[in-house]
Amino acid sequence: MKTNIQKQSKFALVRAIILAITVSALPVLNISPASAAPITGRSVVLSNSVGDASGVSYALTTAALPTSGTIVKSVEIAFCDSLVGACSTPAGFSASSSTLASQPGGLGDASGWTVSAATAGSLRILNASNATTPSGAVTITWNSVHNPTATNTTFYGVITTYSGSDWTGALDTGSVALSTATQIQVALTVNEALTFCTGTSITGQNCGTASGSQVSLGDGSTTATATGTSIIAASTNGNTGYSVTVNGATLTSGANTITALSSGGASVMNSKQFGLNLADANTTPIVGAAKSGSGTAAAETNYGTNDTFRFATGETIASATGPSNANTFTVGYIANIDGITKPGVYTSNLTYIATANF
Amino acid sequence: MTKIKIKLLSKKITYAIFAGVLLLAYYPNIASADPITNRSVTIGSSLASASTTYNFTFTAAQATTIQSVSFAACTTASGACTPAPGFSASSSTLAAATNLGSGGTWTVDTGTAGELRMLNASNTGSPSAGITANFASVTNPSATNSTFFMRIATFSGSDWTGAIDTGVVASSTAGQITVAAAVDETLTFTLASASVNLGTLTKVSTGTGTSSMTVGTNAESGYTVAYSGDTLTSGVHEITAMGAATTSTMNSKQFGINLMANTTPSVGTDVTGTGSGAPETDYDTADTFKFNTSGDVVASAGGSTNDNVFTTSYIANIDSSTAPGAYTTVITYVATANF
Repeated sequence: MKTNIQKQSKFALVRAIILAITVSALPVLNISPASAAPITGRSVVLSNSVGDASGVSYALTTAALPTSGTIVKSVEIAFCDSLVGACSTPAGFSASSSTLASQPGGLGDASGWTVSAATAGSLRILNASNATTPSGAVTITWNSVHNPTATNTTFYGVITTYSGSDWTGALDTGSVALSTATQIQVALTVNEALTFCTGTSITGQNCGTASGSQVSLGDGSTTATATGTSIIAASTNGNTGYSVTVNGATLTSGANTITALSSGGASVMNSKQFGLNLADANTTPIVGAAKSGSGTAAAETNYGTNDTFRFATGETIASATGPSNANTFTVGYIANIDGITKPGVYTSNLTYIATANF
Repeated sequence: MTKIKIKLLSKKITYAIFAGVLLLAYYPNIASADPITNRSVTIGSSLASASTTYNFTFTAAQATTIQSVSFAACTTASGACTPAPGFSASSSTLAAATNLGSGGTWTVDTGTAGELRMLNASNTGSPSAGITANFASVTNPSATNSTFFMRIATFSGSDWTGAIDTGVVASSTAGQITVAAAVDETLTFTLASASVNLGTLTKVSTGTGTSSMTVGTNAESGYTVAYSGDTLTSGVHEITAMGAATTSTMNSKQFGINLMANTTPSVGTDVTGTGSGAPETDYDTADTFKFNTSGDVVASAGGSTNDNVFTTSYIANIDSSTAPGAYTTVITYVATANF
């Protein structure tokens, strides 16, 4: 008999303990009161989904609260690993440093709301003085939240509004699912580049279209200046840009030459002259064209002045001082002869060299 | 059974570690290769397939002594190097190497066609900023208007092992531009007037007049100007041509010319212009005139010449017996260039 009593007593004790545990666990399980109405149109937008990220904004948006006749004095989003069973805060999640980005909307009073960062696992705000019933869509944004540690992992937020300013007296509730995600790093290697081409025709700055290598100045005359053009296109990502030099001899026919304008000068008819420039608007004679393209390269001073022509082998004719998109330069050539210029076909083979400086 | 599996796994791990160590030993400095800075290559000619110079300038990142350097010509800046087609270092020579350290002499190695190489097993010390390495007789890639990349690598060993620093420079071939101008054969010859009036002649004055002609040529051997024609004639009467060069004498029958500025009588102007043409003998002395009815050369240039303007002075004298009449002559000047 005594044994039975002892057994019954033990059984009762166990039942009491189970009951006590169950009752005490109710808040933890987030089991909402039967009267709590479901919140609709709810979402929480994260400013950053990277696992373990800090300084993240959590923006809650919902439709107008269903319990519109009761004043809301506190709101909470409890973050859990699962919506089933007791709420276990996702590892790494922390609201301990959370701040309220701005006064919430749709909760009643437009001011007086403050954050409570006392519960690491929940984002909370309160306004004990709120005297206005909720109306319209609800918006609350917390800043400085620390994301859960795990990457590509779903976690949940349980939203609850309360009539008490101490997160008691639950009114409406709803849950949202969120997830962290792996940050994608996109990488691109940019190698050293120098694009350079010459020709008598280049479409835009496209070196793939470069063609032609012969510039005919026509027949020399003592009363007219012979002219012609060729094209140069260049670009580089070189740290200190690039330079282009011109290399070659003056117009030559056997032992006879047409004097190069080695110091630069204007075109003068009835004198022996050979020169070039990259100027944009020569008028005496009319030859050449303005540079094109979005690059920052420019003609050198000695080769960039309108109506002044020059030719000295090895000299730099154009350059860019830093990385430059493509530019196309038109090289204008002029040749004059005097009365004693020996007849013949005068030619000059010019090589342009681009040097990029990385 | 489990024991055996563990043993096998242990062996596999050991082999893997050993292989890794061997790999690192073979490429001991790959992981630590630093980027070369301020790097550029200036090529002497951008013409495709040209044999030219390659002048490198760069600054090493590390102070480690360099004993060899390579410059590989590749079609890309990174990844496996595909040699730039046509590029060849097989005939390359080393023209200069500076700021690489001290001791020994840098020499070229032409054993690898696709890359320029230099070595100095005796080099000591650290490189300084602004290293130069100038090569000659390097053959450019064969494609025109084509970018290629020179991959620079420095090594601590004199056999291109033990990489220290690396860097890439981009360069490009380009099309050669041929500028051509034709200069045709020229002869400038113009006569300013078609008639010369010597006025009314008297025995106490000399009739004078002038005509001018402009002559120039680019002919190799210059030109000659000759005249032809008769003396002044009126019907059957004529004024005697001055067959030999002589002075003007009034009250005598004379018809002559020269190309000078004369004082007796005052007529004519010396030759002008930048050309090298000049009056011929017998026509080049002031106050001395001549007219050869068989024709004669009055001016010439021995080579190509810019334009000259010659003034032909005509004089005529008559004596008391000269029959009245209108005396005329038609003189033809012919310029002949000798190319």
